[in-house]
Amino acid sequence: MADPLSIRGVVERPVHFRAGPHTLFGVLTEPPNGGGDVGVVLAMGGAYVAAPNRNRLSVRMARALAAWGCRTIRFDYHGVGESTGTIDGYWLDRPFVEDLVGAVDVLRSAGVRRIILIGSCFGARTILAAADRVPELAGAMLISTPVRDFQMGDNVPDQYARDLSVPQLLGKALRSHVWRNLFAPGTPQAFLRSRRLITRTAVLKLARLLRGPRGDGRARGVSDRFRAGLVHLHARRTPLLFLYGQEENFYEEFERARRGELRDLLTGPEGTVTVEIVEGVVHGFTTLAVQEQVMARGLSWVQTLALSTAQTAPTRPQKSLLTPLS
Amino acid sequence: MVLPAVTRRTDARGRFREEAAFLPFRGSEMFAVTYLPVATPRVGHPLLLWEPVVRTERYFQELLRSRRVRELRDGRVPANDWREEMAGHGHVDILGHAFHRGLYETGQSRRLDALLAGTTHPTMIVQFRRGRIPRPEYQRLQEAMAREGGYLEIGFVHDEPAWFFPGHQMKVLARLLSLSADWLCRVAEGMGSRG
Repeated sequence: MADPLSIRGVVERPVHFRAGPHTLFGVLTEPPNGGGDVGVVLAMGGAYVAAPNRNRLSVRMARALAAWGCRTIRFDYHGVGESTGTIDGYWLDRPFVEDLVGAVDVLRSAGVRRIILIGSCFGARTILAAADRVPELAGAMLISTPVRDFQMGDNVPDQYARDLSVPQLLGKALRSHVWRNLFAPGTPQAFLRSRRLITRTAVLKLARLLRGPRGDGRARGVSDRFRAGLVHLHARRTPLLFLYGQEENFYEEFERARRGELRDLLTGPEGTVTVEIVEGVVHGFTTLAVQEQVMARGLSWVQTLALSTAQTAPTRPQKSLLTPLS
Repeated sequence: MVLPAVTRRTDARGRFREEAAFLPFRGSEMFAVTYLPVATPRVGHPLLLWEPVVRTERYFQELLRSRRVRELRDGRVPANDWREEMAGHGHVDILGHAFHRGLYETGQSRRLDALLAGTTHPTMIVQFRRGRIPRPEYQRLQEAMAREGGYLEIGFVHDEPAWFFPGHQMKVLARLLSLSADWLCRVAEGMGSRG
């Protein structure tokens, strides 16, 4: 562990830690007095987003949490930023569980006894998949969590291939702006986006047609892994906060699942699941206004959770998991 | 951004005052126009610039245009005039990034050609674009530097600048790194042979 750096009343240390075969980079942010027993892991979305997140959202959140007494770690997934390894792509049904557990281990070794996980999109799905390896989990904030499984970049093609018939897809492809983007694009990006949308939708639709009807979660539009993570957390009565933007398709699909297949898990009487909606699109944090709303709601929820009656969590022997920076 | 020195050499003719005789500077976009005015790289040390901004006004216009394009694409009601937003908040929202008034005001009227005029830094610009034709502004810069006895090389990678699009997987990263490292080594060798 490198020497700490004191910034506006909080202390930050760069850390390297093991996660499976990889050495990951992270930043541990702590209150000046070391803090209490609550620690927070910030898990980024996919798409090669590094630890600070867009517009340093994770940096700001970590420092605000530390000011309230929480230790926080933000980190680069393997293949991203300063961490080792490479990534061939992101699939929501192949989350980076080892990376998240490695970050949790850093908090454990720092003395944390209750852990709160905060993640967006791919990071939220990673949290759901890793929850059974975090017995100290006190709560999870899941931001823009997709309920489907798809590869990064296939969000819309996958949705079209699943929800639309072939005639409906042809109708979409024949719209004027699609042809304009293909044959007289305003920008190279418009051309590339349209070309990719059409080819990936065609490939995914063809695959679905050839495969025939299936009864698994992927075919129904609710991932089996998403459901499994939820079942586990439901059984543990772990407080969950789902946060979505009103205008994003992830919210639409989540609502559909909440009214249908996941009803029992998401609307239980225990009141452990909270769903909050903000205006616009949260996914990607593409506006400052959305970032502010996510910060405010996240901090408020964590504060409430941290101040609530301390849950008993199994303790583990402390050991040094941090690799000194060389 | 400063890369670690690729190699340390001693210039026998005392051209460099310190031991680190080879100290390249590498930066992207706004690096050159914000760095060069305040820190004077030692004479002759290489500058490796990835898709540098040549005129800050134009770059700022592009940033503000990208915000408007996003609003139109999303069908959102256009936000306040950006000047009002900057005056009120001290920054403008550009695709979720804060474009601060300080950067806008201090970055006014910076021109890369003016900053490089009369210097002897071996310079390489890496242009991110399809094709191997230099952008006119880079071409003009190259000609201007040549007239004044300087040297500018332009390299090409066929991709979009990844930092414009968070989430963009750069397919030509290996090419970018090899192009940059090879050039730095060539420059270092050239400096060594002169030494």
